[in-house]
Amino acid sequence: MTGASERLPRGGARGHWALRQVLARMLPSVGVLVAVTFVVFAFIHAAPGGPEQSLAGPFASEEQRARIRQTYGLDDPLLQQYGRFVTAAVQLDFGTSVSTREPVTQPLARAAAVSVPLLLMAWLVSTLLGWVLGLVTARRAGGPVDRLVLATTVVGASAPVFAVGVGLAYLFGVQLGWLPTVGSGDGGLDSLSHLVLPAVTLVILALASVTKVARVRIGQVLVEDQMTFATARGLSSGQILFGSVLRNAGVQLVTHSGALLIAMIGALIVVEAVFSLDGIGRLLVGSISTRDIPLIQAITLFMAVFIITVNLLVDLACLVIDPRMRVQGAVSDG
Amino acid sequence: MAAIVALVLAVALAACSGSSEITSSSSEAEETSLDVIVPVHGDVLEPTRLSVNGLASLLLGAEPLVRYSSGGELTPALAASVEEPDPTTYVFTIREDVTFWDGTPLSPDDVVFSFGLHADPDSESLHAPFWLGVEAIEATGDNEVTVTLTQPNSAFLYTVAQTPILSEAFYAEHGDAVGTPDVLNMGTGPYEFVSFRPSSETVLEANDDYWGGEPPWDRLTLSTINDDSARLNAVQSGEYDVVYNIPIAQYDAFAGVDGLTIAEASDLLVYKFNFDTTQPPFDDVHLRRAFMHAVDREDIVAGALGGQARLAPAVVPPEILSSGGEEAAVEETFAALEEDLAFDLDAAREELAQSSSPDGVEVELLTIASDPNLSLIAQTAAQTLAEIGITLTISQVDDNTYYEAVYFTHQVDGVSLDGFSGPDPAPITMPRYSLSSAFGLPKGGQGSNIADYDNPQVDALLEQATMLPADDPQAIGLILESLEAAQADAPYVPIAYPQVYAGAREGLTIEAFDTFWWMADWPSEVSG
Repeated sequence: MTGASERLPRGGARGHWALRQVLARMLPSVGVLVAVTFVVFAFIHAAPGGPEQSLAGPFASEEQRARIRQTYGLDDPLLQQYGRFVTAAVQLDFGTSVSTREPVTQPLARAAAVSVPLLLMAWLVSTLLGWVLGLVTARRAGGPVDRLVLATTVVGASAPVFAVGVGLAYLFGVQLGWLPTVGSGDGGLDSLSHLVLPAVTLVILALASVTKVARVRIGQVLVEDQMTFATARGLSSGQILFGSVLRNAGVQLVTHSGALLIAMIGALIVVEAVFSLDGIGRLLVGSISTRDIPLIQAITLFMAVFIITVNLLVDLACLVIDPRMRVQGAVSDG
Repeated sequence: MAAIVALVLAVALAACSGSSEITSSSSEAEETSLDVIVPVHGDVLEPTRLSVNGLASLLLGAEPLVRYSSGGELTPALAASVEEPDPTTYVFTIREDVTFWDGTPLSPDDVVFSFGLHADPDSESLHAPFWLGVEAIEATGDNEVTVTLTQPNSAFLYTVAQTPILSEAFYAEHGDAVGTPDVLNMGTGPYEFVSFRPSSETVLEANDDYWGGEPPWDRLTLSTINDDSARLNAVQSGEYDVVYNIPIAQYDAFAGVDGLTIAEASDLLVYKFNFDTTQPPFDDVHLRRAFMHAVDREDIVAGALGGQARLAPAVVPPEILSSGGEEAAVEETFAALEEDLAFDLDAAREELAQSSSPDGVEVELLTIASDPNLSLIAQTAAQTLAEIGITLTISQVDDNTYYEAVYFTHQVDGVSLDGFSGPDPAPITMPRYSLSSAFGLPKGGQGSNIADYDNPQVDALLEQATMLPADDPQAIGLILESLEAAQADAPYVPIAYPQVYAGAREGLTIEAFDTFWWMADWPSEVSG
């Protein structure tokens, strides 16, 4: 450890080094954004039909549809259309939704105001609860508590997400009448109450995975020699937990929780449908159905930025948790 | 990163705007409110982008000149009277002392503007096809608007009944933003728009200054819930008071909800197989008739449609034609048409043997998930069709792919399946739209004659019927004759007319209900 610290930049130099780490991870992300948006752009254009069919209906005349295509420049070459999108996007103009007639940031913001809190709430609860359960089961591996927790979480994760959602809505909404079963609410506590059941659904889905990873990794740490030494040195349970167990298991746990957050986006789309939430998933499905290309592009960009940001934060968190990774980074930086 | 910052700010703003709404709703806790599930919601609160059920909220806020009422009657709304000095001229006298919600008076110019949204040559409106026969729309007096048609159209007033009258000045002020959640729209109706979430929810509150008196409800919330289970849970939990257009596949589930009273009516919709009569292999009438006899329609109604439908002998429901007092003739003709459609595999094999495809054909049939009945009908039909050598490969696609292939380009294997819904209850509409060659793509029509069926005799009969008043017995006779003539060519295989349902929770009653409930003053029909 001492040798490693000597090789790390110090003081202001350490701040520059951290900035370089962030930039080094963000620059390739630009390429990822371009690739993702272009692939989605190409796929949407390759799909049969266009927004003119949604706007003008099944019995629109050819002239009417041609006018709409002209209005939105849909007959221009693909690269020209994509170039327009990129040129506008770098100026933070993501275009106007073909279907809702608003700047696409508006429907996206409304949807994000539903989805982001829901996703973060479910992720936070499942991560913290999963870590606690992982710790408990790792310390009592093979015991009845371990078996009960693993069996319960695996059953929850094995059930289809829509079935869990419908079941919860029926139990807590229809039978008990405690919580609303559909909709996003009118803001504040009302919106929060509408997010409880969707969040619980996501937590049930995610909990088994978090618990299992935490149980395995913490179990590995608990049998290492350093735990015996820590106990022999007379450290308290809290010091051992936070100073040794979580610090040593932290990189794997944080990395997994980042991957989990990204994976939960897929389930979020189903959950939003089941609970009729006006979130990103529903917006995405609707925009694909209506071939609302500007909105699809904006959602794609938003999701890509979200995923890149999560990965970046996970990388940075790992650097904080495990100094050895900083050393490796410093060495590779030359 | 700047993009992220922009979006985070936008998210925060959206969250703030949400929290301001709860203050409003909590202060109005004692109001009489009605929470309603409606089948569809538009993306904008604007008539050029809304059709049929999607107009349910807009027509409450922005009234039409004449209002549909259950049973098909049109009653004066913003028009105090309507005169027809000749078969191609309609003179509307606009009601005086009517104001928009912002206090500005309603003028004939607003009416001309509202009609022009759909009738202008460069209109992108969903309703533009229904205004194609309009020659001129003019303000002809201080309270008068005159519409001149190129030829008589007995369905025209129903088009007027679906056309909300909106403030021209409001459009001038807000431009393309009209109908968006931030701007909403401006009408004269009994309920004012309070909030709008695209594809999801519209909230309206009573207009205290409404010219027609106090509306029966203080607040209306109209929501669309696409997921079947979520819709059922929402009704069972009591979160909603009324649900319109219960899917027929869910009828039994809703019928089992405690305290829910279900109203029922005939839907003006026909499920039918369509043949491309201009392209091989279905340009062969014998192959079409073989197909027709090999579809067990009774089995489809009983099984795929759960008995919540009636056999369809023609492309138009009989009750639509019975308004002219010709019930006996309608019944007799429909009985004959039904007999001709009989499921008879021997007759099917005989027709197939005479066709240019005596060994049968293999064709792909597209269906859409948004109407699951189509897939069920197709799968049921495929079983019996396979017995005579006609193989249906069923593919489920999204709506746009379906529209492109089935309606716009007719690029399918010569056969398609759809639920064709009449936009209005005029007797002429559905036969004309589906059988007149003027509505087929080859003659530059809108494509609702999806078979591209072209029979001069049928065209002539329908043209004559169009010129006559909607309920003229002679018009009904001509329509019946056209249906019989077309049946011999089998451009379609009509399958079933489904029922349409609405449910009201315990303590509420839906007094009047039909398939055009969305055109009527429907909140006034809910009592309790």
